[in-house]
Amino acid sequence: MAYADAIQALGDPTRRAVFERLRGGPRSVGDLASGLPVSRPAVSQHLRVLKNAGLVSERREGTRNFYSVDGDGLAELRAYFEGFWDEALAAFKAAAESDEGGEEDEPDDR
Amino acid sequence: MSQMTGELAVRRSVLVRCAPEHAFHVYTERMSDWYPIEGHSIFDDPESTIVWEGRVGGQVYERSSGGEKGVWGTIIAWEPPRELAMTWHPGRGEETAQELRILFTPEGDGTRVEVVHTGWERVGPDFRERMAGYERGWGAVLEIFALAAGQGS
Repeated sequence: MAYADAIQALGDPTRRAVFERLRGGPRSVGDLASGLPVSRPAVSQHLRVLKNAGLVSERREGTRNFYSVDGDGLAELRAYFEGFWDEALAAFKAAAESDEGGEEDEPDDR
Repeated sequence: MSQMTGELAVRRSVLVRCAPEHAFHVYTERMSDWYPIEGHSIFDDPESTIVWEGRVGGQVYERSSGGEKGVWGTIIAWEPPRELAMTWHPGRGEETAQELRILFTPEGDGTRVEVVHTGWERVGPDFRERMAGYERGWGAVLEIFALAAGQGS
């Protein structure tokens, strides 16, 4: 489940801060590190975790790598909410259909 | 921003073999019979019941088996048997409210019930801290989705 990886990846506050900084568009590691109280290698490590979780993608431009929010990872999150409502609506359907016109024939189990 | 909001509407529907009147009744009056309260109770109480004050401005709230009341949202459209809408903020502040719109449309000899869930951008980045006690996984995912809603703005 990709969304479970995403939840775990964003459980770390610094990693969440890195992810939030990518909202405005692609940024390099140096750019990201300059605004955070953590070292460049630490930011690289956080980016690797975000990338493995499908939340961030990496693109090489010349000698520098740029990171951005990954749309595919977000599709997984949409799927999570769709899954929640699918389950809820399936339960709703069962409840709505269980007593519709069936009351007379319903055997009493007791 | 409104474009992003549109893209982030989560829409799901189900076809139910009953009349819209009955579907509307079960969705509201009998929500406790079907809603997955386990894991989604703000009191972490699987015995909680869900109460609908069926009118515009009425509240939808959870009542725990111990009698505690926790508001999930406020009804903003109440048009039985075709449509209802509510703000949606179970376990969090009203300022982060999303919106749920439920449509009941006749289809064949049944009813199509559609849930449209919007307002992801209002959840906010410090959302997790305000979710104390509510289901952790749901909270974190909601937060990620909210972050994504702000992306590119």
